Amino acid sequence: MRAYRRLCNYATAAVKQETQYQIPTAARTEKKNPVDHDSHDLSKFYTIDPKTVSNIFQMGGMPKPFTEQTNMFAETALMIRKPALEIINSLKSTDFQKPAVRYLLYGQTGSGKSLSLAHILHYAYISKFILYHIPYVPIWLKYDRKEVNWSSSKNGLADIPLIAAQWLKHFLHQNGALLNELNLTTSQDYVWSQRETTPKGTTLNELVTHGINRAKYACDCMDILLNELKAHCTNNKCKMLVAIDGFNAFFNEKTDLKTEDRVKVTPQQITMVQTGLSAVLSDWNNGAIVMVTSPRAALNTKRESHLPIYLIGRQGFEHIDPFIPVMVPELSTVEFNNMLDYYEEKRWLQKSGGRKELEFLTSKLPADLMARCAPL
Amino acid sequence: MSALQTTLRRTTAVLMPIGYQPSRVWCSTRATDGKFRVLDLKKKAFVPQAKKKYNKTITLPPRALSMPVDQDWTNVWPGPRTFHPATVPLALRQGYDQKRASPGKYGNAELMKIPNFLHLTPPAVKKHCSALKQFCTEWPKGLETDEDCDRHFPMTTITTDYCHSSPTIKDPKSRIVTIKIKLSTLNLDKHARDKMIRLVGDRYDEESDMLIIVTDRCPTRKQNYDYGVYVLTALYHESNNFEEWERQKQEADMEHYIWENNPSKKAYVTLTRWPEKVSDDDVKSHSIDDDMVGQKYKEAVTELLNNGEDTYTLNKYREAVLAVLLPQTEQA
Repeated sequence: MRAYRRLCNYATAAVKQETQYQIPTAARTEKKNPVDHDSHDLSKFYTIDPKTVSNIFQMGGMPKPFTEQTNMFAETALMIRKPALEIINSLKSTDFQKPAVRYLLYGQTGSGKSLSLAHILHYAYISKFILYHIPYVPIWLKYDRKEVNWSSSKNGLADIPLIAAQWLKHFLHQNGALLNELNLTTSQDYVWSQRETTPKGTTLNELVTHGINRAKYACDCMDILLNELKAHCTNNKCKMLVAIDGFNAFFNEKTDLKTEDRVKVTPQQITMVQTGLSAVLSDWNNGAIVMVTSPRAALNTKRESHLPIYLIGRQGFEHIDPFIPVMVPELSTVEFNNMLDYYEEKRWLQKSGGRKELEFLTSKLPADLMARCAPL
Repeated sequence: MSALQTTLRRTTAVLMPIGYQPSRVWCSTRATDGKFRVLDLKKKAFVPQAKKKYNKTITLPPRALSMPVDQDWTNVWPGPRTFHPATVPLALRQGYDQKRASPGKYGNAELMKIPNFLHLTPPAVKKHCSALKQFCTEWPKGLETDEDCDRHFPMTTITTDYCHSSPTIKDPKSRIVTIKIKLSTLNLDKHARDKMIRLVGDRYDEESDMLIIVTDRCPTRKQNYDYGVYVLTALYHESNNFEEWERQKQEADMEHYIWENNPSKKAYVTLTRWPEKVSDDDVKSHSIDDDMVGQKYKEAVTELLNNGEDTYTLNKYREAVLAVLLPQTEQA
């Protein structure tokens, strides 16, 4: 039989498999701690362990398509890219006695700004910064299905109590453990109503919990929390990272929101927006501020350019000046190939080749690439 | 029978003039032919008409074929004229037919539709100029270059004469007068220049520094010219006036971004003096004359806001801010 096969020139099964297409593996780094990342790890992937992911990003912070992808791949792998690494390196070497330095990530839609912010957040979380993290501002201001009331404490401003309570939950989820450890307390009495007061010396955890339970005061609680944190940072008791994604939505012309008496409110009329704007003022030290401007967060009439001053306007520029603009570019060739290797490794992309075409079709924008590879 | 016939024939012969042959006759044949005669009761005789011969029109071969190579083209095509295939010795093709091929020049309407400049060949222009030269005067001395002309004659007046064959030789468009002047030749100070630009609105072109006044409201050219010059004079003197209300100029009314008047300076002073609090007077009195970093930062902000943002200005701003905020990374 064997002789017959040889005669017929049958290729044996083993040889056939060897010549078959080899699934490439993506370049990864073993360093799971973003503190250790350096320029040698550029354009490599690192995985965040699921527990940390749920601690930081459970209630937002990563783009939805990416979260779906991480569920599919059963791991959260981020590519280490230059903009995030640059900010992390400056955070390492910053003199924290100086006022908080402002960074502004900008770039085209789908170039990876939010995931760069995620990388920075991971670093800050590991380095025990308190995260004052607003996952995506337009979520607050879009979709008129929200309860909007005129604020009782600040004249002329409007509250979105339920959204504020949700955000406080997000804050507590991210920082609850750290706040317990640091044992930060309030510096003065806060009187909410005749019956409800928060006396001096209450832990911030309790303050936030009160805000969550009494949604009516959630917006005020956000503001007070920010002021307390700023004071604690200035007194060297803790470090804080303010991270705001979709920052330019603060300077949009209008929102979808209406109060109960059907008055349209602008972003500047919302207490939470004012709190957010106060957070990016660098009148405190021991921390840093990272903002992300995105054309998608702007109104759809104002998306022609991704450059920051076009998006935040002169007013916005004057509010955050001086800031360090950090451009998030499209993928470099090495990054692009590594990204496709990763997709092939995960069988997200089931065909090799055609990389030039993919490069042309997606302009090397990672979010486009992910969507484009889905049916391939 | 035979006698009767003879009589009849004789009668007809008498009645009809000689040479006349009737188309309808009782009998087409003569009795003497010896052929069998046919009685035509319907009195019809079919005489087929002779086919007309088609005479081809004789035309001369296209003129282009017999043209000498060294002919004077300006004599062949002296003035503007619709394209003529036989006169133009070029293998031109234009348009397309049903099979998308472009047909040749003969019988090609497309070539006739488009305007041609066959009368404006360089030799034709040269010839034209040399003919006109006898009417020209000598070029004045001292006006050799364009810069000289601009210096001695800063104002340009543009009018148009129209010449066409119609019952009237007057064209209403000839009354329009355009006056052009470079704003830098007007000897204006900073305030006057800014005021002038605001007064003239979109009549000022920033790129070429040109002020262009077009007047067409009066019926004659002379009146329009006088009016234009009057407007220019009035503008000049009005720009040099300083009105009391001009003191109320706000930051939003500024023609340029001036760093010292803006929150950017306050932010910078607050940063450099951290952690002490700064008042508005401190900001005003703070000088950055011997502060290189501050000067660089001021320059970058001014350029960013005055010239608009692009990769270059943003990078410059970034470098300047890095020097201000993170001097240690800058060194590394």
